[in-house]
Amino acid sequence: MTKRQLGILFILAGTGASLASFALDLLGGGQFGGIGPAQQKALLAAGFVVLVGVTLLPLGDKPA
Amino acid sequence: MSEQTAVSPRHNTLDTLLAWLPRILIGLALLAFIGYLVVYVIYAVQLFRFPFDYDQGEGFELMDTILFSRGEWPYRNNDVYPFYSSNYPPLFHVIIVPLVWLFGPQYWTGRLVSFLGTLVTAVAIGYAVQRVGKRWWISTISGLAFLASNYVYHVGPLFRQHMFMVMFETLAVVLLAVTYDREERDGRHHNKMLLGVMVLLLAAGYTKQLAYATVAAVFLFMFLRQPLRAIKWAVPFAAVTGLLFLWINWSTDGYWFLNTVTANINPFVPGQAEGLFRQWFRLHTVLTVTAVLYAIYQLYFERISPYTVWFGVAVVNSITAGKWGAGESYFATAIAASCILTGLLFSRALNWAQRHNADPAWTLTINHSPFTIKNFLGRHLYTAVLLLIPLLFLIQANKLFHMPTHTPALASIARALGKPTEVTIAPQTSCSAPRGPERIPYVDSAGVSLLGRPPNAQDTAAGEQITAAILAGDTAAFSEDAGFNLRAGRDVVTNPTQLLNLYNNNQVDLTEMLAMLDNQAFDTIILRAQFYPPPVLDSIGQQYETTELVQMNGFVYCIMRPRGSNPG
Repeated sequence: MTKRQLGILFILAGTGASLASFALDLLGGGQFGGIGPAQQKALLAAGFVVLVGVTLLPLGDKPA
Repeated sequence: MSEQTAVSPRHNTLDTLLAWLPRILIGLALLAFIGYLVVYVIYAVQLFRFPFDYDQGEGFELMDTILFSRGEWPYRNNDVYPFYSSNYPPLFHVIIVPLVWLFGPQYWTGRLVSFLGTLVTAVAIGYAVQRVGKRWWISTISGLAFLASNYVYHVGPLFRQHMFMVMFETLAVVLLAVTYDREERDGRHHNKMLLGVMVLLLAAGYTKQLAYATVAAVFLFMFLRQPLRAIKWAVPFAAVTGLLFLWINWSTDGYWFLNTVTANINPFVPGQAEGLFRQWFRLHTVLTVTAVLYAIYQLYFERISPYTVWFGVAVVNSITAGKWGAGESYFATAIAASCILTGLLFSRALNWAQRHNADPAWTLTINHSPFTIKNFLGRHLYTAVLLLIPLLFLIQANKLFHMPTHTPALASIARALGKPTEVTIAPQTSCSAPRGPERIPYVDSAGVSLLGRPPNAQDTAAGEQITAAILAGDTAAFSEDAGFNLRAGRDVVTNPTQLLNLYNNNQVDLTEMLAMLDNQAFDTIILRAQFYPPPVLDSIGQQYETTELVQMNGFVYCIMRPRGSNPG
């Protein structure tokens, strides 16, 4: 696996985690109407993962 | 000390200082971490001698071992007397069975095995660092740093399976790293070694469920290197794990699944998770920051090692420490990984500095100036790094400070280090009125801790007093600790935390238990933290009254007798 592919994995994982946190809301999870404090932290973490993924993309075909 | 400090042979004061200062600092760092090892051994030996529960769950793990020693499963129906079941996988208890056959149901058996497991983990960490870094003192401190962690110290010598799981996890990841290094060197697969990794992972998982994170880390690493190979190994691994799971579940009429999976679905307490993350970082700052820096370096500048993947996954998984019933020990895997990464980074930094010492690229002459910072660093680059690393280890040692101070010698050492020699803590009460603070001869930078203070003769006497209260009656006690019934030779009746977990998941029928309590079928009730489900506590409150309070290990136990009875 290359650094670029790893970056794509990070982006997919971060995006997936964000979507999952919203999906939990749709399924009725959580105690808050909007974005709750735990969800806020989870979204921040997911955003960070996406950001790391983006920075890995320019590293191209170097082995991960 | 064999370290060369690369100082020129000129004998001036600065050179002499630069030659000796690193050696002194390395010696001090080694001394600090060896000191923690001594403290750890003192605590462990005191625990081996203590014949009752020090941590509330220990007696139930001993009970599991006793059941295995009789050839019985501990995964049982909680609805009928003695309402007992285990919520942990079997391996740790099965390994202790021969000791129980030889020496009887003793607490020291499991405590010794767990303690030895932590020593094996420390050796594995040291080996992982040494085989790459080749700096014996960094490798030694890296291994000892694991034992010096407040969390490892607290839990390592207890009859709990957690640290034994960490041992298997560490051995698996170290063997994985050795395997891949050897395969890359030899240019061929070493499948037998990889099979060893899988066996160790299976052992970790069947010691405690939490090992799933390390299993995920290993397969994630394999996927990064060779995706197809990772899948080829994951399928049979999952099959063996699953078949073993199904076999135990079939053998126990489904009580394995109920007690180890369903009953472990506990509520998540965000504040607990956040508090523990903050404390972990505060206590292990140097280890954690160094590990993170090395992980970032590997992520961007070289191939990611198994240790980096393991560290990342373990840190993320430490969020599960926020589950009700979980705690600080959930960080032990991340701490083991951080010790290895720290040792590797420090060794590499030192090797790099030695190679580049007096490198022309690091020296610069400006207008024939006799001295510039850059020239100085160029000449003494290696010495500078050699000073920095033991200094960082010493900072880490200071952050982890914990020490029992029950002997004059230990109290003097604490005083000499500028630390307090005792703390003032009120005993834990739940079923009795609060008590005033007491002086405790134990100091811990983790803060007020229920674990870490070696039990003493008064604690043993208190345990015997509670046991005598049970023996004054004819039945087993309905007790939150198993140790008193075990000591009295009576049945161990239920496990309060397991019962509460099952109750919270609507998986237990309390009818028979409540009927027995309502009929005052137990002569004695022993409460410590009132972990029982609310209907059980209600029934106890209606049918029993407190007759005696006994303090043991900083907890006030309430001994209760049936209302209307005449104990005398």
